[in-house]
Amino acid sequence: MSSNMIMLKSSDGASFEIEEAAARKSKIIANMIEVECVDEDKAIPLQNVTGNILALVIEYCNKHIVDDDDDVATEEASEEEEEAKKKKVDDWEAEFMNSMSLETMFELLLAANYLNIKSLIDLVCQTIANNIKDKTPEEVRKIFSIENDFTPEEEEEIRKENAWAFG
Amino acid sequence: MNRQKKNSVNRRKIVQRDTQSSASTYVGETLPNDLIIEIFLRLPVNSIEVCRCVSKQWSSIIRRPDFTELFLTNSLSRPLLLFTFRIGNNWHFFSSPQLQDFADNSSVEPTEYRTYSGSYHKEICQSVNGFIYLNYKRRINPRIVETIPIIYNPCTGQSITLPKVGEVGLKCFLGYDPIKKQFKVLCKEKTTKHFLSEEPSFQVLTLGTRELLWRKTESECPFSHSPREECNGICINGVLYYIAWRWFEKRLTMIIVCFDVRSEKFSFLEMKYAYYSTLIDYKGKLGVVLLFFRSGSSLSEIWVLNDAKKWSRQFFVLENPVLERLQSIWATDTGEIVWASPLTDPLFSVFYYNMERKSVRKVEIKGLRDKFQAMDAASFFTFTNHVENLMVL
Repeated sequence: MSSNMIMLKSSDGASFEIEEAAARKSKIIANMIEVECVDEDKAIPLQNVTGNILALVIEYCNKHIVDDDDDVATEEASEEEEEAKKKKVDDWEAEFMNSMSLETMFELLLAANYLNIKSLIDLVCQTIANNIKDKTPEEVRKIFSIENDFTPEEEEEIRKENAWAFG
Repeated sequence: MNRQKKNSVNRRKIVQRDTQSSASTYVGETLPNDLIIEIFLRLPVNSIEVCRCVSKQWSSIIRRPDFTELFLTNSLSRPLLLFTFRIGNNWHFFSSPQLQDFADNSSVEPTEYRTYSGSYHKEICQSVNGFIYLNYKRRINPRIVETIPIIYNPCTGQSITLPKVGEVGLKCFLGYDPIKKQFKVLCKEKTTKHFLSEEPSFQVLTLGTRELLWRKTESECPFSHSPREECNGICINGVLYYIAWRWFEKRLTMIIVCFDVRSEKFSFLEMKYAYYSTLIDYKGKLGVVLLFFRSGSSLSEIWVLNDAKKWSRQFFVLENPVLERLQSIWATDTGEIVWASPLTDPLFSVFYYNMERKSVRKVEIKGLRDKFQAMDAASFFTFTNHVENLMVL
């Protein structure tokens, strides 16, 4: 296992040490490592990610790099073991997402998007989707802090059209 | 939040921190459209309809062709079973996942869509790429019933009433050309004359055009035939197939008509006569299920059209009680044959027959039968490989 460490620096100046293998979960960082020959003593500045969000991103990456190592160790894992492992990851992800507010989720989504971590974008989008699934338009507006820009007539029209969806 | 912060400190080595993290501004409102689309793609259709009511921007994203295209692509990767039945003048639509990995005797909760109301339909024909073709039968006087074709999308609730063709009745089929992304309705006008004396006359209508007009097909059908009344058509990869009768060399034969939706050219395939035959989508290829009743059990055949336009045949045996109770629909997705139990069954279920293992697995569709029982429903149909399409034609 590679124990090469690299440094990441958040927009608000927090520095984090992270295993290169974990950092490579981010396509943008992987790209920087390939192209720019990252200097081990110099942190990679991440202008769009604050420290508290970067901490979450790193927690996610570290968790998933450990899982990849498990794969190598138990190559001939039985179907049940595979399933148990998948469940473990699912449980971890559920708890990870559960531990944060919706606001943090949005910031994490922006960070995952900026750093190009596909699996994390998928996870956060799915969690946000689950959160708004059974909500009314008012509740969704509140979650996203979106202003209602329909005129009362327009709103009545569109709601009438969609009445079936409101159960 | 507290727990999470504590974990963060435990699990990570923070080397240095120059400044305190600044208070975050609320970002939900500043999400770029492509991330909003990513979220929408993970929502069920009724939640998407709720999101349409959130703001003008969201409403316009949901109707954008690039979004509906992505949503359709997603939906194509997880095809559904669609159930529809009529209670009075209302058609109800439900879907359930078309499961692949499941244990025998499992059960699923169906999803309900928009109800279509306002008319009486005697036959319902096809589900193509999320759109459903229905026939609206209107009685003009005690002797004459007028047929008006309707295209309906249960996901968006859009219904399109097609202009009237002919005086007596008609037989229509819905087709989709995946290259030009166009829906077309093919229509054979029925006349009072016997079909064998008729000249083949087909009209076609392209959906999504400003003005809906019937016109003659690009090329005339070179062989006289009449679509088999009780059989539905099926559209696979831009070719519409339907079973028809053909009078040729003083013999009545059964054929499968192939109508290329884009070029509007007709051709046909010879077919063996069976008591019951129906067209299916067999792993993306045209398949025909042929049933022959015999005492005890019935030998049935599946013919699958290969790329060289040759049929390959497989045999399977189903017990007579299954055949006798069979609903009109048969289909497969990954090579399994699927059928639904009659609605009168205590547990309304869908059966998957694996041809290689010759075994049947059952999935109960929860709650549907209660609706039937309670409200005296009629005209029950099942479709496989149904997709959710948010496109507005």
